[in-house]
Amino acid sequence: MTQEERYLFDLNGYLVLKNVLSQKILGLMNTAIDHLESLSEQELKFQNISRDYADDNVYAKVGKKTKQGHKDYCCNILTYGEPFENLIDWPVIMPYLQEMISAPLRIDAASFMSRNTGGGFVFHHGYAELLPYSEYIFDQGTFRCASIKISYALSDVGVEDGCFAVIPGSHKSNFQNPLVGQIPDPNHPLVQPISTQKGDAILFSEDLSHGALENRGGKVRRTLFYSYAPAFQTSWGETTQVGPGFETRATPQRIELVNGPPPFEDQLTKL
Amino acid sequence: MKTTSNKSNQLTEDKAFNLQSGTKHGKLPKKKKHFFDITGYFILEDLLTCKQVNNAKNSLEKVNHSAYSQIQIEQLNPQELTLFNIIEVGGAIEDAMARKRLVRHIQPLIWGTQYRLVSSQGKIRKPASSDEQLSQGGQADTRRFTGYRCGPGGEFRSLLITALIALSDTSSEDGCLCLIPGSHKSNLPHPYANKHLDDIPPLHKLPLTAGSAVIFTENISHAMKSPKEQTHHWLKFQYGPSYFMNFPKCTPSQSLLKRTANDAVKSHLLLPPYYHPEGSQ
Repeated sequence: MTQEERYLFDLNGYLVLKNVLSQKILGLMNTAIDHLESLSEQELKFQNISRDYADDNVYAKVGKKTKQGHKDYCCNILTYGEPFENLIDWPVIMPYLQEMISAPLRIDAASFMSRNTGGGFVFHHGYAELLPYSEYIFDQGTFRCASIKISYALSDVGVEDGCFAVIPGSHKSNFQNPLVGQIPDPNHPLVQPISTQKGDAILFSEDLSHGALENRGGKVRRTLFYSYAPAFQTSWGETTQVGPGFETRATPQRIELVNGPPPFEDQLTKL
Repeated sequence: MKTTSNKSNQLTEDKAFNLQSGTKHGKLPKKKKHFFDITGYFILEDLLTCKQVNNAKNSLEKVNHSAYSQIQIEQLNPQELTLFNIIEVGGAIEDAMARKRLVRHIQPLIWGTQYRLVSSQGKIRKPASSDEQLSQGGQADTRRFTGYRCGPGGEFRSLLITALIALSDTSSEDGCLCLIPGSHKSNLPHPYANKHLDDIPPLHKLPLTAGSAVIFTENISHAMKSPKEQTHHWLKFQYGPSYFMNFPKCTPSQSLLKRTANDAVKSHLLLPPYYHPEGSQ
């Protein structure tokens, strides 16, 4: 990270990296998503993918159905294999993760999210919640975040398209977020909408209050979320499950990120 | 959609997913919370009865001299044996991890109702001439999983909490735990590397009678003095938030999970690692 990136990440709780995905991999990913959206729930199950519609999600405001008939949903994605598993150790991103977490780390979640017209996601989190697994820490010149998430844009997302939104600085707030549970209002003075173009990535501390504006455009917002944590933390359910043959085709680093390096190793040496 | 912007009946994520934010679980009196926040430890006198102490001690020796597939024994230094996953032996040791009084003191220090047992160890310490080295503790401790935090109003969010239960009498010169009160909040590294424990002015010695326990945040600077004449026996349980992985060699066996399934406290402590209910963020 450059000195300015370190400053901005500490100040705001997030960073935007432009063009981290090439047109080629974006094409592969969007083709794969198109394919998955053409499959029935039953057919998806054969690939160990579960499409979870947002109807029962208290964080979500559900948008209209897409042309393919899908309501807003998210799904696990790594079991599909490439190209999604390539992002596990994406070279542009890894140095940021290592510097933000500063500990042997693992991928603890990965999912795809689709949000259509009308869809949005309410504000959640903030330092004052004291959620231990999302804690933002900067200590003696070193970031020691407990959870870093990356939102990869697979489509262009402007303010009208329901882009990601945050309250900059809320990863250090000592007060409960008064906007928690509300769809972010882009006109509120605290709210920072973050427009992205496809291929951009937003890296953020999970302690940052974040959500998504209501999608008022006519486009579906497609996003991949990948999440990382120190190795002594477990993963979020089945979202890090990988596909058949992963161990044979993946790099050692990729395998270690999925399985997690040995936790508590420095505790053993202390004993 | 279940959320609403109406302030009076707003459904917060905490209510929806029981995020344990400011929920003030636990029944520790303010005095005790204050003590722990300032010092970083508690002492629980007479946690185990004489009979329980003897049973636990006998179990440690039995395990040391027979083969238990679920318990690994390691000699991490010439004078000390560590018996990992010692709760597998059952009986008084299995019961000790879930003693009501112990859990009542540990639970409020972690994270609402989301806590679990991360490791269990038995320790057999033989007499030796040298003491342990003082651990780092505080901000300078590189062991991330030891972090200590206490929010407004005494909302603790400790990561690793250790309970050391003495199965032998210890004294200030003979095998006791030593620690530096308040060092869990130290912003600076301690200047006592390679110093003999007796030459560290702020170090407190905590002699315990067999059956008593000390509970402390792993983030406190601590070390154990060596036993001088007789072998000492200890139980060491470590508790952390629900999403903490098991300590290496400390994954509970199916048979242990099965036999504890109907015990609410034990089965809670032995839940597999988890964050929140499905669907939370």
